[in-house]
Amino acid sequence: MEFIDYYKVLGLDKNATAADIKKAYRKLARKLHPDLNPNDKTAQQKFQQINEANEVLSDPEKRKKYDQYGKDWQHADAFEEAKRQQGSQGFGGGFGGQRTYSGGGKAFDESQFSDFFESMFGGGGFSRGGGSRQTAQFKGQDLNATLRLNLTDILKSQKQTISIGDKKIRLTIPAGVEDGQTIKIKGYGGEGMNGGPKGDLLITFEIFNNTRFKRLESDLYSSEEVSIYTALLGGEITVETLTGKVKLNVRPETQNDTKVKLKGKGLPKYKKEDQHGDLFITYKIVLPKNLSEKEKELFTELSKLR
Amino acid sequence: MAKEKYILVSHYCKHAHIDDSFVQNLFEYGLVPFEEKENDVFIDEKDISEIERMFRLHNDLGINFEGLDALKQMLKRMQKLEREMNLLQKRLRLYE
Repeated sequence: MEFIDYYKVLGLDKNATAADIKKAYRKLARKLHPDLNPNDKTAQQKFQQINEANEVLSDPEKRKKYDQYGKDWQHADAFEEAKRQQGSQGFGGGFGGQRTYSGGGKAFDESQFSDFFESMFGGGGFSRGGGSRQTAQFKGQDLNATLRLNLTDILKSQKQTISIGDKKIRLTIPAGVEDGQTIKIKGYGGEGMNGGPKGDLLITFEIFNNTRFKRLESDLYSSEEVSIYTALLGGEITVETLTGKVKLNVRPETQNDTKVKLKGKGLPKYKKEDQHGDLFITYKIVLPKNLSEKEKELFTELSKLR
Repeated sequence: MAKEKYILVSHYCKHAHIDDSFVQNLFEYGLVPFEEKENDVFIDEKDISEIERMFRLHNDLGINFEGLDALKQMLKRMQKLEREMNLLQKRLRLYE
């Protein structure tokens, strides 16, 4: 358990007035509020910290106790003992009575406060300042998880079981899911506040490209080397696709960087598994090296024909 | 097509302990759509998270309804730009 300098969290010194605290908290809250910083975990963590700091420093009684004991965090065991002797209400009979969550009403509960806070002020509940503000029911916090898959794993829909805490969730991963795409599983997030519904579980996919193809949505891109003779005279080459090798006819007089489209050889389209994107192949014509005398002679002869 | 589920505003406000006037203001500022049928006002279930988001911003940060409107527009633009940026990054990778 680490000591948390709540003054530092709010960018204040110990002599800060109640007005200073309110002003600093409001300024940081406007900057770090989770609703203004979606998908920014750092901002969300910092927001939690400033809330905790504000919770303590804006309450004169809590602030007094924090100033008195806070730095002696190394004696937390002694605090715990004192707390146990006084029941479950935390120091000096606890702070506030019933768990009311008045005021802010953010998707946030006391279980998210730090161990330091819990140790100092106990789990006996607290009331968030706010006077006449109303108590509202809110949906629980959405939980975020990341699932890493290989590109070759998304050719077909597949079922996977993932563990979230002590729960196991059986999940169908649709074929063609995008890198960075997030799917929502309703009701698997944090507990709601004041009887509100549970939050959702948001799973973001990280698709690792373990192939030689480049991907843009459901289309794939690659390049294939073609010899100068095949490019000039035409011929057959074998190219790789995600589902195996295919033979391609190269037209005579094919130019370098010519693109050909292999229809339906891309990735399955998201939620349209029977439809596929295309594979675009760019021909890279390779010039021969280390020419023999005979080859030089023939190329010279050829050049004279032009 | 997804099945739409409408909720009576007065029921929602009572259940969520949110003041009716707050939701009414959201309607007046065009921040949340509503349906009116036979003198009853309904909201779409999918808009509830938006109402809660507005309520948090209003209560936590003291943002008024004009501010909520501006924030909503800015967040919408930000999300659009983020989507565009992701797409452009993916396109750029084709040339790397």
